[in-house]
Formats: sequence, structure tokens, C-alpha cells
Amino acid sequence: MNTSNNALTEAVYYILLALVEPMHGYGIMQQTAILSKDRVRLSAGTLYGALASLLDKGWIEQLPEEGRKKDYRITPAGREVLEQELQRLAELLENGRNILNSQNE
Amino acid sequence: MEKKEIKKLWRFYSIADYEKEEAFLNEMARAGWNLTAVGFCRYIFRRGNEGEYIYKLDMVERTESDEVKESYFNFLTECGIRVVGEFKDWIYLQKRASDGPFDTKNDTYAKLRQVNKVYSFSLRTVCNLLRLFACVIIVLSIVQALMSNNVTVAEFCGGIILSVAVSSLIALAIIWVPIVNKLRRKVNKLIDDIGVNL
Repeated sequence: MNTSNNALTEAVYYILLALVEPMHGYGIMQQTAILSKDRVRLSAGTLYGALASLLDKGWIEQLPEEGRKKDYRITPAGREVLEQELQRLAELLENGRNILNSQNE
Repeated sequence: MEKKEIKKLWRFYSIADYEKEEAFLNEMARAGWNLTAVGFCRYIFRRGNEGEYIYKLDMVERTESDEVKESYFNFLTECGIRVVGEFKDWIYLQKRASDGPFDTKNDTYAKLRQVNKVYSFSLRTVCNLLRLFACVIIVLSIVQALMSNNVTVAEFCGGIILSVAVSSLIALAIIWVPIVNKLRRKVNKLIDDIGVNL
């Protein structure tokens, strides 16, 4: 559960989004680059650390190993965090649009 | 004329100047010299294609278990990254330039993560040094107390205690204090950039 009100970092946001489909580490990096049109590139160090702490929080889980590559997947708790983040982002977007658009009228 | 294939260079970079060290390695790679091994102030390069590889420094605590290290190294391999050198807690990462950069350019979080590792390492080193000096001084003081009937030994120990204390403090002040300060300023600057203090 995301008990704090903190915004997710872009890295964590994209990692969670990518892991809606089971994926291994390198796949997450590629997926993030594709989703963000190459704007966000996760470094291996960032991703490794983030995966460890997300596992720790229970937002993602590791799937039984097949071969050498480890696959990860988002958990219901992680999905909940993503939903909350989406709401937060929607609020930011809505307020921004409302105020800027009313000024432009 | 036969082209030289191996180049060995001496360079000194303090632990706080890892960015300059990275820049140096990347410049060599752009000129076609690829890092193959690292030692104390020592860099060995092999002639390759210009601009084929890019380099980055990362830190893995030596105290980490082999298992943790191996799992991280496997992960790096999966990501197309090779560890070409290890020195103390530093690891030297190599990647094909065509696979894209190591991370987003000017990613403040990634920079902060890196500098924080280095900063913690320096603080840990300073603490370990202080602990070591304290132990030496305590042991010598005990010896001195036990040998108080023997004036020569007692004076000898007293002299050593004083010189160890003074020289270690000077070493700390001259070498480590500037490094820790520099790293602290870097950490603070990045924290400002993220906007935590806004």
C-alpha cells in the first residue's frame, strides 16, 4: 500500500506500468523507453535498485525462474498504487487545464 | 609500422571526481581506446573502433555478499552491460554506444543515487579510519600503562600514541575532509534540483 502521499518517481511509475505484463529487467527498460518515446531511459543501477525496493514493498512479485532471466509482475497492491497515482495525476492535470484555459478565454 | 594495440595510462582521480574519470574514459573510447582493466591510478586500454563503447562508474559495496554481487552482475549482463574493471568498491561498466546511453541525460535521480553511494562510502571510510585510530591508541595506552615501571617503553608508547593521533588527524583533515565536503555539496545541489527544498 502506498501509505505516504508521495508522488511516484517517473522510474517507478513506468516500471509498474510495464509490469502489468510479466517482464524481465531488460524488457522493462525497453518498454519504458518505448512508452516515453525515449524520454525516460532507466539505468541498470536504477532499475535494479527499484526492483529490489518494489519487491520489498510488495508492489511487484518475482515469477518462478525460467532459465537465467528473472521475470517480474505487478501485484494487486502495486496496481492499487498505480490507480492512486493516476487519480493524483488526473487532479494535477485537471486543475492545470482549468486554470490555464480559463485565463486564455 | 605496427600500430600499438595496448595503451597503459596513469591518472589520479579522487573518489569525488568520478564524473571526470568517466569523462576521461569516454573520451578515450571516442578516440578508439577501450578500457580493459583498472588498477590503482592505472588504466589499460585496447585499440578498438572509435566510439563503439561508452563507460560509466558504479559502486558496489565490497561488504556485499558474493550472491548479491553476482545477481547484480547477471542483471547488468542481461542489460547488455559488461563489467570491465573492478577497483575497491568501484565497478567500471561498458556498453555499446549503439544500444543507447546508460540512462536519461541529466537524470537528477540517477545522479543523486550515484553520488549518494559515493558519499556513504566516504563517510563509512572516515568512520572506519577513526575507529582504527582509536583502537591503536587504546591498545598503546594499555601497553603504556602496563609498562609504567619501564620508563623507556612507556615513553616510546607515549611518543607513538601522540604521533599516531596527530598524523591520523592530519591525514583525515587533508585528504578526507575535502572529499566528504565536495560530495556533500554535490548531494545538496542535486537535492535542490529535485525541488525537495522548494
